[in-house]
Amino acid sequence: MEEILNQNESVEFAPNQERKFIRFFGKGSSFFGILILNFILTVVSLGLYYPWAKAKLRQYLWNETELEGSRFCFHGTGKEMFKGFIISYFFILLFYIGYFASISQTMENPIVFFVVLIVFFVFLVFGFYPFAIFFGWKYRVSRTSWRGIFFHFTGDFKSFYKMYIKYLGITILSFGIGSSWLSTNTQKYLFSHTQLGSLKLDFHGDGGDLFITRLGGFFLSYITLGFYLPVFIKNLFHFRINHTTISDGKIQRALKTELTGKQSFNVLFVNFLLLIFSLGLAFPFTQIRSYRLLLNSIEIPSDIDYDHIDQQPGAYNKATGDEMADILDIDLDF
Amino acid sequence: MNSSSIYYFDGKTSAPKSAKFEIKRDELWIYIVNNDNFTEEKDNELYVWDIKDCESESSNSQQRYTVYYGDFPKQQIQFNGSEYPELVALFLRKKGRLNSLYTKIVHGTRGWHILVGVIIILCSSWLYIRYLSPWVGEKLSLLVPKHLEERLGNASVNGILNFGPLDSLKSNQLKLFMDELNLVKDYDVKAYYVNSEVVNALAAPGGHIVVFDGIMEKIDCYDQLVALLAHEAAHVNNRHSLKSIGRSVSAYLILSAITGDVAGSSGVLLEQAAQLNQLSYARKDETQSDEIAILELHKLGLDPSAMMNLLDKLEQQEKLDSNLVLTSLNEMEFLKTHPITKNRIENLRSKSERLNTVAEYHPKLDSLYHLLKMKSIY
Ligand SMILES: [Zn+2]
Repeated sequence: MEEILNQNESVEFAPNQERKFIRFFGKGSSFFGILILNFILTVVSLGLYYPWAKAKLRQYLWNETELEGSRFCFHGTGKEMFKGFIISYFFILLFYIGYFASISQTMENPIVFFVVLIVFFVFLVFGFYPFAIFFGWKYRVSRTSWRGIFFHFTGDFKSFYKMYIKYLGITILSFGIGSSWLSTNTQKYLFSHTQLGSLKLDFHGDGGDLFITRLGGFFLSYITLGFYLPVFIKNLFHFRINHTTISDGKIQRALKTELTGKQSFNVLFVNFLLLIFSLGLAFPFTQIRSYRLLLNSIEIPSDIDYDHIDQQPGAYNKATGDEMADILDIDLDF
Repeated sequence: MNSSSIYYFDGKTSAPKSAKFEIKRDELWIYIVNNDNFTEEKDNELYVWDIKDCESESSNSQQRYTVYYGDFPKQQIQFNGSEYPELVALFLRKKGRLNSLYTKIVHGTRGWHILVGVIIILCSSWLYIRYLSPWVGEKLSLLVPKHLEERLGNASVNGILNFGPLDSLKSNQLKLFMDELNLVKDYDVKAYYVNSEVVNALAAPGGHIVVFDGIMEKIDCYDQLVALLAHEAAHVNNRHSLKSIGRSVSAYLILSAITGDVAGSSGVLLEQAAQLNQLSYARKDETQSDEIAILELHKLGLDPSAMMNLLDKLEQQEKLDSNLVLTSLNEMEFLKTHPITKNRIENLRSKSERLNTVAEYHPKLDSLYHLLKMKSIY
């Protein structure tokens, strides 16, 4: 299949009308091998190898993802991520200490326990999450390159935090209804401040659309005992991708996904069976199947000039100069 | 782009340039080939890379082999690895042992590799759950300061008191009985006598010892009460309940760090296994406490077989109960937390026989015991 794909591509840039897709070539068996080696080294090192394991995993996934005949590259290192790892581990430890200190108070004074819980929740939602989302994204983006051109994040935490707090407030006051707007605007902020060299990313999704998609999805998944779930996931993916645009300074075009409910159902259903019958050990294979389905479905605009993207001066240096970017790199979905 | 060509990217733009390469000692010479007007005489663009400063990355099919050079902007070449094996071999040699192991995994994982991997995962998980995590947990639990331990004990005793009303008179008598024995070291003994049919006794962290009326009914001689209390005191002295909390926390804490975002579903499975393991460690604690109790009886000049008599009695009751379906569910709590096996009793019997204890009568203990056995007035 790869040969056929490669023959269709030409060296010279020509504004052809051929359709272009992102390609993912990851293999379950290779992924499995990497995970096993990671697992062994992590266990042997009592968990300290974890950041290096994460770097290896990303390097693999990035390197198996192809755009216009060239692969992505992840330049992050375990050493950089180690700091973030230590900090998040410290938070987990802090939580446990707080938890056990307060549990001893529970019977005598239940209020103390609730106060500790609320303080922790407030700290998580108002401090830890926005911090982790912002700097995690910044780190990942600034360590990703394609054809030697680096991704580049121009957001600043202050303006991000302002936006985040505003929509978090709305979410809390509306008893959760506002979370669709929070999620949409977070993606909008992150994407609109991200560029691949001179190529600019943006996101034009509307919170109202997401809210309706989610409402319908929850409702239908519930009354169909979960059988609607694959379609729901498909709809969410469509929302994320189809409202994402790229622009080369002259024209702005949207990405498009061809993912169908049927494909989503097939992959999810088989994944479910694989996980059940392997007691979870088929996890690497199911993960690769999902990545393949999602990434291969993304069509990129064919009239953008991918051969003349310019490196932005200082894109990489700026990121390394910023210590904060290295600190937190946690896998969170916005 | 054609997959069998070499492409050079200068790190300034994404424009691909066709290239050729040559390996000259420690250097990689890259010539740019201009397709339109390539002439032999004309000087071609040339880049010379020091091989020791190059980094490489390859996909599983080796269709895309990428070599990076320099800090920023990074230059790179991209080629089909299977067409230039000498270059691939060169960079594989350059990588450290661990990195080249990763590369080999990426290039080709076979069925038997996966099988070996699964076996390694299962074995190491077992080793981890069985030995490493409990060890770490017990060491961690020893770091807990005493006042926190006493707090924890207070909380669990308060929870236990939901089973029935606390009998403060008998609690005081029980305390007197225990003071006579002086079994607990390092802690102030706090004795609780609970009016409940539950057949159980337990030790909470920080020197709290709880005895239920239900188990008191089963006891018919003061030396059996000494055996029971010596057993519970051994739990206190060896900080068993704190260690057990430590074991479960460490299993959870370290497992969640290791599996992290790697495997959600198998994490749950491992946790289940850790729970089962917890039971076997609990059994180990029980055996230890039984053995200590026998030694204590011996030291006090009491017959160690009182321990076996107590266990026998509880075991018979259990058999009786399993024939009678009518017994309430919490009737035999002691047996759930203190499972009795034939093996356990036999071991104890042979150990106690070796002690050759000369038993004496303890009038003070006996009279305190009789006070405790009196029907309480509500
Ligand atoms: Zn016990």
